[in-house]
Amino acid sequence: MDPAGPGPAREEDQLNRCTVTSGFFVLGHCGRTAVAPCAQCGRPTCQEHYGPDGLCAECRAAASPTRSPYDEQWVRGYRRGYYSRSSQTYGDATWYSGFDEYDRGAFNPGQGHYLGDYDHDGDDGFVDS
Amino acid sequence: MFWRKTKAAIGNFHPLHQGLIWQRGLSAAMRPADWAALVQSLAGHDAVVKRRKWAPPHRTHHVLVPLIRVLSQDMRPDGVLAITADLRGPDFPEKLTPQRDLAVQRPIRSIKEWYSIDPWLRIRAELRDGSVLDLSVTDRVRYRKIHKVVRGKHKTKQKTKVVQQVTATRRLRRDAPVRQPAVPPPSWLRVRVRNDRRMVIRTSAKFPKDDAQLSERILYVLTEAFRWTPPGLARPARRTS
Ligand SMILES: [Zn+2]
Ligand SMILES: [Zn+2]
Repeated sequence: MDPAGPGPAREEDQLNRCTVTSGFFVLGHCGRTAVAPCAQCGRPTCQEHYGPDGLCAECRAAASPTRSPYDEQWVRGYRRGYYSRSSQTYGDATWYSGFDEYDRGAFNPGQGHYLGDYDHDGDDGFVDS
Repeated sequence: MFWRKTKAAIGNFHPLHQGLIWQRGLSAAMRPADWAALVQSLAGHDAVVKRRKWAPPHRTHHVLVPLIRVLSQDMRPDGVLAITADLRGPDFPEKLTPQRDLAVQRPIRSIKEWYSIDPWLRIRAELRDGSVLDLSVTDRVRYRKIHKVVRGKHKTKQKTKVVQQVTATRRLRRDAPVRQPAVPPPSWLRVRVRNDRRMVIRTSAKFPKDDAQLSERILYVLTEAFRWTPPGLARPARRTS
């Protein structure tokens, strides 16, 4: 049906992709090749998003949030708080829950907005050799 | 002399960082990584320059940097983020309207009123879902100079009132799937939606001046434009091999 649809090989492929959330309003998943599951949330995580603490970038940002927008990690921690506050401002509970479900990987990665960096890299790279 | 050293250090900052210091503004169209280089340069400012006179305008910190960080998240590495920021403030002749006299009653002798219209921020971002976001912030300052005579004494005072108008337009890519938000937007937000093959969502709001709150308020105005395209709604075109 859908030429880009998930065949068996593709599904297998997707299981090994990093599902760390990217984007702010246009949400996506990282999509690079995963090297290990996050010790806290269990999501498959790529080399770039996997820390020496065994956590994914999301869990690490939540554990030690920074208030400085000059810090590259700021926006990751700010995003969840923003969705929560703006959800209240709008009186729209689905605005937060939609983000939350997406962030927790409730959407099949096959439906994910893999618009992240890996598209651009040309190759999936980052394979732990 | 110390200021000479400091000036030399400023000369090593990112060119747009220097522009924020000397011209109190910037105008550039660059990719996210290039904006990140500017933010990195700004992050090192306080370690090198102590003098407040040479600090970037405070809106750099309160508005520009957070917006660069947030919008860059939604862009492809080759997308263009265009920003024009005039952070000089409202009090320049080209921003002021002519003065006019308001009708008065004693003890007030005269009231002169004029405005400053300061469109100090314009941003265009090419987002990674193929939509294009335009954002503008305009400060509208009302000045009133009041002259009155109380018990034979002449008194003059000036009052100002500032309203910050935020306007955003998001043009979706052709035939992008949309879903009307479940609940209407808050009453303070003005929304217009044009749905041809290419949907255009335009939102605007006015806020009392508060630069520290402004970046989040801007995002509140943007949010409506994204409630129409919630995550998981559709499968976008994938460009995988
Ligand atoms: Zn995690
Ligand atoms: Zn990743």
